[in-house]
This record gives sequence, C-alpha cells and structure tokens, in this order.
Amino acid sequence: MKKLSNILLAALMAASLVACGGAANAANDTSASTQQAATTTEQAAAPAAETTSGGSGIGFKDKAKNPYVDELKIAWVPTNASEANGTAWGNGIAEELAYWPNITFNIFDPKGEAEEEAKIISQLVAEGYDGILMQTVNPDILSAPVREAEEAGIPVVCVNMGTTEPHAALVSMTDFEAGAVIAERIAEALNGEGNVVVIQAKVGAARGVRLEDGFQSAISKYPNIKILDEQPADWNMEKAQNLMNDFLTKYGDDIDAVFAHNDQMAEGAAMAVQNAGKTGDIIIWGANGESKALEYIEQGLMTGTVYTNCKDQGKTAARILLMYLNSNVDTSTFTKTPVTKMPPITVTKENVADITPDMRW
Amino acid sequence: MNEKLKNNPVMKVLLGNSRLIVLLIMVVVFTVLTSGKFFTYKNLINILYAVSLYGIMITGAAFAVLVGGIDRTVSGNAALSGAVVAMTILTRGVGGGNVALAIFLGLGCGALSGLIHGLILSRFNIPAFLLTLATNEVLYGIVQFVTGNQLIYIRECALMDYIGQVRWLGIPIPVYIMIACVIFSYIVLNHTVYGRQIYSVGGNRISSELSGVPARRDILIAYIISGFMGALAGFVLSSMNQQASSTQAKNYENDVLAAIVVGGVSMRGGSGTIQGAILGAFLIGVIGNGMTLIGVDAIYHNMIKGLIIIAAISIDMASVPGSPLNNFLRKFKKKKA
Repeated sequence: MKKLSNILLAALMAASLVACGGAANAANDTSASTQQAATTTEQAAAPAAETTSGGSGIGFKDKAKNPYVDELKIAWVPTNASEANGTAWGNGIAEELAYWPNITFNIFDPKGEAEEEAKIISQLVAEGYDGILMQTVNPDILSAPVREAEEAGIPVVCVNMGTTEPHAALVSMTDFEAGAVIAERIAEALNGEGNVVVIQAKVGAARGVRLEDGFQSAISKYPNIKILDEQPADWNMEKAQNLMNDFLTKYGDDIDAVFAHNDQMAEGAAMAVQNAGKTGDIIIWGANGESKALEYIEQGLMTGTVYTNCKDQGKTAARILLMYLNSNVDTSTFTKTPVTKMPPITVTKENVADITPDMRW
Repeated sequence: MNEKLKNNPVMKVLLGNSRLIVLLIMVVVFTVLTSGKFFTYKNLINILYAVSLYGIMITGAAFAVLVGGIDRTVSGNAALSGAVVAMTILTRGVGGGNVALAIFLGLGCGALSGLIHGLILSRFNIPAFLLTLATNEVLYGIVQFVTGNQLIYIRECALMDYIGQVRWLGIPIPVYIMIACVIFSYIVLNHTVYGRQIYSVGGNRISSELSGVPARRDILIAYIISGFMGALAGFVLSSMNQQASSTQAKNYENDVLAAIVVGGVSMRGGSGTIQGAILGAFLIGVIGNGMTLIGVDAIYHNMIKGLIIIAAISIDMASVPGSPLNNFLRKFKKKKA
C-alpha cells in the first residue's frame, strides 16, 4: 500500500517536473516555477498521504488498465475547440497519445455551452469511454456529470477549469498569480503612478474573474494608480479594437496602460493604439502567450503577456490521465482535487526570444 | 407647422424619415452628456468603423428581407469565406495570384451558399427563417472542417494588411468598402428593373408572378447577393484581424437583422430602403459607442439597446397611417382637441 502511494507521488512529481521543463530555458521566472512545482507536489500528495494514514479517504479498484495492451478510448472536451488555447491543448494531448497505438482519441466541442458540455459528458459515460480530459465551461453545472463519470470508474482530468466536486486531477494555468504579476509589471513601468483601463473577458467567465481578482489585489497596493474604466470585449479581437477606440476617445492621452484578459483582446487594443499613432506611449499587457501575441511583442506593438506552454499543459494532463488508468487508484473516492499548476513565464521584449518556435502555439 | 417650414428641403427629408430624427436626437444627447467628446471627427470615424462590417452584411441581407424571406446565414458565410481565404493563402503562399485565387474562392463560397439557399427557398415552400437557422449551423460546421477547428493566422499578406490597417484621409478601408456596397445596393434597388421587381415580389409574390415577374429568379439573385456580401464582410473581418477562426462573426446575424428592422425594412418583405437599414445600423452603433463614452456599465448595454430599438420601432409604427399605434395616437389627439 505504502509502496503504491510512493509510486503515485513520484509519478506526479515527474509530471510536474516535465511541466516545468519548458521554463528551464527562460531564465526569467525559474524561481517562480520551482515554487510552483513545490506547491504542486504538496497538493497532489494530499489524497495519497491519507492512504498511508489508515486509508480512510481513498479507495482502490480491483483491476487497473494497461495502455500497452488494452484498447482504450479517451475523449478531449475543451470549452471551445476552436479557440487558440483549446487548439493548443488538443494538439499537445494528441501528440502525447499518438505514442499509444491502441488508444482511440476523440475531440468533442460544446462551443462554450455548459449544458451542451454536460450532455457530452453523460454521453461519453454511456458510451463507455475509459478516460476524459476536459476544460469545464462552468464548475457548478458540470459537477454532476463529472461526478457521474468518476463514479462509473472514468477518471476525469481537467485543464484550467475543473468542477466544484472533486475529480481525478486539474492541470491549470496560473490566473490569479498572472493577474498580480501583470499589475506589478505595469506599476513598475509607471513608477507607481498612472491610469489603467481594463478590457475584460466575457461577463462571468471564471478565468477572467480570477485574472481580475489577482490584478486588483496587486494594483490596490499602489494608491496613485487609477483604473479609469473596465468594460468587457467577450474575448473578441474586433470588439476589443472598437472598445479601445472608444476608450481613446473618452480618455485621450490620460491612458497610460491597458490590461486585456487575453491576448486576442490585447492584440485588438494594440491595433487601436497603433491607428491612433500612440504605439509605445501606452503599455499593453495580455495573457496566455499565443504566437501572434509574441510576434506583437517582438514588433513592439504589445508590451508583454504571461505565457503558458499550452501544448505542454495538454501533454501533462494526458500523462496524468494515463497514470491513473494504469493504476488501481479509485479517483472517485478523492475528497480534494489534486492540482498541478503550469509555470507562468512573464514575456516582454527582453526575453521573448527565449520562447523558441517549438514552444509557440 | 407653417407651410414655409414644411416645404424646406431639409425638413422634408426629416419628416419623411423618423429614424433620422431619432439618430440626430441621440447624437445631440450623447454630445451633451460626453461634453462634446462624442461629436468629434475621430469618434464619428470610430463609429463608422465599428458599423462597417455590419453595414456590408446589411447591404446583402436586406435583399433577402425585401424579397419576403430572411437570411440568417450572413455570419456563416462570413466565417466560411474568411476560413477559405485563410486556408488558401496558408497552403499556397501570399503571392499575388494566390491571393486573387483565395479571394475568388472565398467570395465564391458565399455566392454558392446564396445560390443553394436561393434555389431551395424559391422553389420549395420552406420558411426561410427555419432553413437559414439550420444551414447557418451547417456552414459553421463546414468552417470547422476547413480550419481543422483551429485559429488560422494570416501573415504577411500585403493586400489584407492594407485593407485591415491602411487609412485614406484618416478613414479605415472597411468604411470605404461599406460605402461602395451601399451605393451598389442603392442603385440595384432603385434604378434597375430587378430592384423594382424585388419590391413587387416581396409585396405579393403571387400577383407579381401573374403579371409576368420572374419571382423565382429574383429570389435566387437576392440570396446570391446576400451570400456574396456576407462573404465580403468575412474577408474584411479576416483582413482586420489577420486571422480566421471557426467562431468568426458568430451571432452577427442578430445585430444585422436588428439593424434592418430598426431601419424600417418590413419583415414581411416588399417595403423599406437600403439607406433606412444602414441608418438602423448607425443607430445601434451610436447607442453602443455613446454608452461606452458616458461610462454606462456593460451589464446594462444590451438592455438599453433593446429598449431603444423598441422605441425606434414604435416611432416608426406610429408614423404609418392605419397602424394601431397611429390610430391610438389619433384618437388621443382628437380627445385633446
């Protein structure tokens, strides 16, 4: 029993170390990522530790599956398969699973609808899938179907957003921390004094809310930085461009910095700023680190972004799922979801070259 | 009102078009509330730019509505054309010939989609709303297939960069494209036999057919124009964003149809003008821009937009003699007298 939990722990540590591998050549945030790795193993150890102390929290199945010989069916259900990160995660997962010839891999697209995603999950349970990789649209609405899957013996590993009920694992980008880092960088560049506008995510989107919380908590330490305005642009590039045009009309030269909740919107804002002839005068930060944003940073159109290696994140999630499939741990007995956080890399013009072409998505 | 004022050409235009009055009132209100920031050259250009995509779609979609149908596939056609252009350039390179081929294929897809819709809707008695609601989903499905459900970046395509970024006299190119489309639609609707037939078929298809109007052909052409304009808007959108995605322009059809209705085009077909529909788009654009400038919280935007659309429609209804609202107001006036 003890041996098994040790193996589990080691495997998880390995997985999170792999996740940090991408950060190794970007010297900037190595300290942050080692810290991340430390918290990761701590959290991941929680359910396993319970086993050793009497085994009250965790149960075991009689039989484990073997990805070398068993025919396995694995599904990937992002909130929106066509968004840049959804695509990158999917590519990472596909690449990882391609090593296993007897694993069938299918993608399902709920197109951002929580109810649709719930239906898909129930259907996957009925069709007898062996494992599910997903990004939930809504942690509450998806709780019941994910529970249903877990109880049917299907481990559910979530990317970026899990459910309120515990499930097998969550592999997440940093969001609260990313928001805070961006706030710090903006404050630093402005010497603690200036005006910021925020281009928000779709109203109520969880990632947007957490980025915002992180940003606010850090920016509130600077009393002389004022948030002039906050409006949503629904993750959408052309909406962000129009919104930024309106902000420029309203506040003119008063705007010193822009924080957009994703890179697409930051790119839209950058275009508006460029058309107003103010490139370089206004600091523009996005989040995610898609390849176009990195190009914009290289061209000086955007100031920075918080990059996550999404492909690597997808691969990590796939490896964790395979580990569960290959063990006889019953993930439905978890009382807390183990979390692995991907290392964030703060990218600006100085270190953008560190994100090599193979790391771009 | 005295006779002299009534005969003044400016007043004539205003009295004949209640939406223009509403638009002017909104402009004045927003100008006062934003202490002048609203009514600046730059901001008016911003509004034009924000409206341009919808405007291009409207110049096509209005044909479908005028002929007595409706086309909800404008957004799907836009996404498809953007995707086809992006994929063609991605696979064949950014050389001049390849870009021309890409544009031909992209716009051709829109026209083809319009042709198919036109063929079905002119020959079978299927409600256009239901058919296009369904086929729009099909179109987005095809887009997902074409793009592999991925975001496709379009890099270093000189023509598309030009359309997306260059300005003539401080005005972005998409605005010029919209103006060209409006002129095209205006001429077709008002100065060609086909244009007059559109109104006739939209007003009463059976009697038009009896008097020798080729209704089937007219409906077919209306949907082809609609599909083509949708595709053109998609190409412009892809140029603006330097990318194509399978969710591109999603739900744009709602704002397009709202603008057409606010612009006084009858949903039953046969009445309305292209300048009215474009005015409707401006009205919606002005409301959105004005509210952002005043600093209205985003959660109220849709609600206020909806209420103003209802108000615009009510004013329009009241000005039509014989409409219930008009009768009610007349009775009210009589009582007062």
